[in-house]
Amino acid sequence: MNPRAVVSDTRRRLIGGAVAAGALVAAGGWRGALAAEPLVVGIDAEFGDPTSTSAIAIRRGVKEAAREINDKGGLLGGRPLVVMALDNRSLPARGLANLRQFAATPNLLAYLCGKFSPVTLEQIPLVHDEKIILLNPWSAADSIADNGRTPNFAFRVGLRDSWAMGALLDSARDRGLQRVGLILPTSAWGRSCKTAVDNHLAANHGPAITMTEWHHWGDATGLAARYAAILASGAEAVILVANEPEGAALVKTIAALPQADRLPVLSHWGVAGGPFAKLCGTALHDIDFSLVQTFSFARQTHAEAVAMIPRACELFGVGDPTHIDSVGGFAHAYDLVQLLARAVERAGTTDRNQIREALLQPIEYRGLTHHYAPAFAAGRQEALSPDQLFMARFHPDGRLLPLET
Amino acid sequence: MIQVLRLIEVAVDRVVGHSLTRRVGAFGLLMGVVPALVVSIFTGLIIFSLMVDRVNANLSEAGGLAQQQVLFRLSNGEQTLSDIADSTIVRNGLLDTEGRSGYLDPFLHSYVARYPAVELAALTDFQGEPLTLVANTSLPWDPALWATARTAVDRGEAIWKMLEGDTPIAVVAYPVLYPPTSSFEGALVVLIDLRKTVGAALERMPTGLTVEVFDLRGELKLRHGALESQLRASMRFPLVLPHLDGFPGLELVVSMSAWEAYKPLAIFFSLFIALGLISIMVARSISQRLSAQLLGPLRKLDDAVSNVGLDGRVRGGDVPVFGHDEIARLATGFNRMMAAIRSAQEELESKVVERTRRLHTAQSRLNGVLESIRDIIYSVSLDHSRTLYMSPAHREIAELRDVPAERRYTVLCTLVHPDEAGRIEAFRREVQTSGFGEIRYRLRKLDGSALWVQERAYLVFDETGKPSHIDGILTDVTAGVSAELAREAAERSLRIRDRALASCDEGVLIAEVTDDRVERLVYANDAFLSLSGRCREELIDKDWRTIEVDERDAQSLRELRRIIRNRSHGRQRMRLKRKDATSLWVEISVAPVQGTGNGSASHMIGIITNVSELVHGEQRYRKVVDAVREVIYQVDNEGRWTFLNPAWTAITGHKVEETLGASFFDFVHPDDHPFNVECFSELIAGKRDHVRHEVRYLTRNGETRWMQVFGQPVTDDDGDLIGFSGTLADITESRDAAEILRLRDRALQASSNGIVIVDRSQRGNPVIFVNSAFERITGYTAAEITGRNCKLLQGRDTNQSEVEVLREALRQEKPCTVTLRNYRKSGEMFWNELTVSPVRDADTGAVTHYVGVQNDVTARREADLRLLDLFMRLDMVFTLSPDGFVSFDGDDRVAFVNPAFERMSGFSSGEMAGLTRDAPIAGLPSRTDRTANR
Repeated sequence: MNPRAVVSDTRRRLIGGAVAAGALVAAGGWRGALAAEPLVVGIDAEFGDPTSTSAIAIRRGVKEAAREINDKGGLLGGRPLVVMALDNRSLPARGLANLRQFAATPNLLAYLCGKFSPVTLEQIPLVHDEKIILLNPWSAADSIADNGRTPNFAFRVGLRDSWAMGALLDSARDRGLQRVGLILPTSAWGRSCKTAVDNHLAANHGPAITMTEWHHWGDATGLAARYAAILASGAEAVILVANEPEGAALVKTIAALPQADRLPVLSHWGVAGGPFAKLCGTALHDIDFSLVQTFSFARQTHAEAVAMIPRACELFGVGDPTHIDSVGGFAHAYDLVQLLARAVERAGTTDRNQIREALLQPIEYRGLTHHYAPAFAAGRQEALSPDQLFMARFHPDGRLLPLET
Repeated sequence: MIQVLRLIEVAVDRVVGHSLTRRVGAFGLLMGVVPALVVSIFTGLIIFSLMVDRVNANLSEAGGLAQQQVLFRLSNGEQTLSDIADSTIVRNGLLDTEGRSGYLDPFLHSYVARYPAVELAALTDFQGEPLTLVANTSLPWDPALWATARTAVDRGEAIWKMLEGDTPIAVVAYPVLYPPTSSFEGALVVLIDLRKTVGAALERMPTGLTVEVFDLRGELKLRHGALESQLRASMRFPLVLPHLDGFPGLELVVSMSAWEAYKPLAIFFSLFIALGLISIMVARSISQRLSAQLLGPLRKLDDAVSNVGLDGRVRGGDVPVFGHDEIARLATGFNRMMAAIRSAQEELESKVVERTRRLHTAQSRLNGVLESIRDIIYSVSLDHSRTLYMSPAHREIAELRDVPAERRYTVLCTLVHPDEAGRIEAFRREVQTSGFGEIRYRLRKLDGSALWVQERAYLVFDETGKPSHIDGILTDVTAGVSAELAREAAERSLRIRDRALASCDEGVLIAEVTDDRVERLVYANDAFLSLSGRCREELIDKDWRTIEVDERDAQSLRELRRIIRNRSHGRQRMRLKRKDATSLWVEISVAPVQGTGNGSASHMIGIITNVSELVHGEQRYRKVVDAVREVIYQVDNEGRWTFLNPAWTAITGHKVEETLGASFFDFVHPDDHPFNVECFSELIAGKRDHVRHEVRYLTRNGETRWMQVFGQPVTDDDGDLIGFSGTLADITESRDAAEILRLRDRALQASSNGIVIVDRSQRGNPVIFVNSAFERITGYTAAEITGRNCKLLQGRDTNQSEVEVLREALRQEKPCTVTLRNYRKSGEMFWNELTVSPVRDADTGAVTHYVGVQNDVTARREADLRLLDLFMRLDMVFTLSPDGFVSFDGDDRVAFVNPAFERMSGFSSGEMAGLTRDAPIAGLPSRTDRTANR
């Protein structure tokens, strides 16, 4: 009586699409006729989330990379790269539906997921069933890349919860905060972070966790209670794992409290998924709020990054690149697509299996985020490493700058 | 109002008739019933409406309560669901795939457990795919569930839907809002069993009520309580949750069995009707009794009155009188009147009885007299239409008992014979005018027999002298009339017989014969007188033996006498001697006439027929038959000779007397027996009407003669075959002659030469015979050429010289042979070597015929011509050849030398001719030297 046994017509579409795609792939000799057939890169992200800017940033990154590639003459003998962006509204159900649509799309090379790990995690089985390459620019759950599948189709340029939690805990430790409270969302992400915290503290020195509070995703109202509980537990800081609405709510809550009750907040990068500064308003300046990041135009200052600054400012309509919301998503997405292009050229085919293989070959690429040499390898589907994480803080003028300054 | 009353009156009259009693009773009834009816109807209606109201009120109360309860529960349920759908747990569950089982499932479980009406609770995603599901039922998963969820998500509103069929299961889907996107990203789907929701509320319904829930389509969803019958009182209550747009329209129907509802009413009504009927009957009986009391005396009066009228006699007793009211006084007066009438009646009766008695006596005396009279005495009206009296004697004529007395005379008149109608008329007129009439006429009785009656009629006058009626007597005079008529008829027939006898051609004699041998002639007709040449006076009263007969016929006369003496039948032929001594062959046949009384003959009657012609004829015939050379025979139908003429003896030698009686087959040659039999059997069988054939007969001395037999059957008058008669002709010589002729004919036919015989005696000399060779040669058939002249064969080529030769020979009546060009029928020419010979008559010597013998010599002629041609060619060769030729004939003499030889030898053909073989050869060298030297 498994309800999933109910056959939906999406499944049928899936099969149909798979057959069509398979046929096209099998007829590889048609390459000549398909010379101008575009290659598709998909994005499945939370465009519908009203407070989210991550999806937009990711899309801009992908499109910028695609534009550059197409300007250089496309892939596989002049085939242009096109972008297919679908909205999953941060719901796993929608994410799966969109993935099925990708599977039915011919000439789809790979897709990028959004910032919501639960959604991406839901997609992992189907990704492997359909052998679609997942390029993850944001979702931080560890088990997205460590999915235990062989062959593993999930590739990430970004941080993992384990790294992020480690960085937060280390930051707290480094700041001399002995006791911290955890606020985690009741979701896979939250659970993944909890696991990461436990693992990190088991392996490393770190502050003690006084309280672990779980807040319901989407429910901004319960945070005050959560914070109050943590405060009452004698924590010196709060490690926050939340997205921007909840984060903003917490910030406002804390800012409304007396100064004595305002604990410093060390946050996962989820809050960067939206216009956090705007959402918080002035409250943000009234509290000590820092978050973990992987990219900033103020920190990655190598040639390729600098060269991107004007373009990025133009795309995002800002004067200062550090004003760009969800800039990490932009940079990761751009790098992922460039890596993909190189892999596709190296594979010389639209067959995703071969592209996957090609991705695992040593690809050297000087990207925005990092000089990848190589990006991925067998058994290592994470392009970055923990030492690329850094803490950042929102300045009153809205810029997000690395902490060390 | 008055009209109505009148109508009622009329109607009642029709029903009750003319009885006052009943009328009064009916009116009383009516007066009692009508108001009662009106009142009761009104009351009934009121009570009925009250009852209905009561029932409705009951239903309304119960139903309203139920409705309230159901709605309350439904509303509650709906509220709970709504809250749940809005809860963060549920919202969270939308995206927390792993974690939702931790918190959402228990939550749903507890919800389901708390509300037993909930069969299933599930959270679906935006497509209606269930994310998690809790159920405590074994209902099958209906795709409708998930479709409803999808619809709820799409519409963003709660959907309530009743499942199809008569299951009280509702699918409820509440869309779950996902706050971050403010969109509906899933649905909470719940299956509610209305039975459990609503059932509890319905449990508390009072018994006797049935509650049913129907959806808008009229499908029954839920029922509480059983309802046996279709007849029910029910009330409908809508179930609506107004704030919920998607709530399906449901209807609560509360019913109770109509019987239950209206039972009191029914009881009341039946009671009512019963009471009503009872009161009506009571009223009726009272009114009837009253009217009976009232009208009893009147009725008695009525009976008495009707009795009076019955047969003129007053009977019955007095009418009882009760009291002193009007009716009593009427009754008393009536009684007195009746008494007076009674006494008067008795007096009259006694008088009438006496008179009647006297009348009867007189009548019976009269009847006795009349019955003894056999004549019909009658009395009729003047116009004969009415019978005033008729005596019983009419029975003899016709059975008129069944006819009404008045009509008896007229009926009798119908028996009058149609022919007499006119005379009857005349008779009646005479009676009318002269006062008396008499007529005799025929009646035809019913059985068809005729009756003669004599009628005498008198006109009778009444006191005033006017004719009043007609009296008459009818007497049966049949016997007398019949006797008279019979006598007349007898006399007439006797006279006719007499005339017949007298005019007969044959002589008739009647002799009276008595026992003592008196045979006296009493009658001789004119024919006999002329036959015998005597006159009547000579014969009458004389003994018949005075008639003279030729002496040669004494034997016959003796025979005749014997017959007469014996008073028997007989016939004899003899020659009668006439008065002038001539004889006349007559045949006398006598027969006895029976006398009346004793049975022996009283008379002998003799018919004398003149048979002289017959006799002479026989004699002549005899002569001819005997003289004829052919045998004339008669055989009976067994083939025995019964007659043969002398020619038989002349031809065969057998004596006639010996042959007669023998079978004719004995005389036919054995070899011809079968053939003879065959011919005769055909005749017997009727296949032929005569035979004509030739057979051999055996003569007395063993020779065979060929006879031509001709025979015809002889039948008697009935058409039965009694034998054959015919002739036998000796044709032996002519047969031989014929044989010879046939032989010659065959010879002619066999000849390969064409033979033509021409008849000179006929004009045109036609061909009368050609043989087959002629046909073959000329191509003409015998039929085509017979009757035509031989010239036909010449065709158009008649101008031959040979024809002239032929003609000359014919003229000179000499034979000749010519060769002519003749033409076959096909037009082909052939050379005809014709030899014509005249044939002369043996007696006269004149040429009667020509015989022509043809010979087709065409081939020979052609051969000759060819030979000639060849010779000519040879001649040419010899003549023209440079080599010398000498030919010798059969005698070795020179026949011919050609010019070349002549030149060579110097001899001419004339010199050479006739020389022998040696001579010219011997002489050749010298000659040749000569010529060579030239």
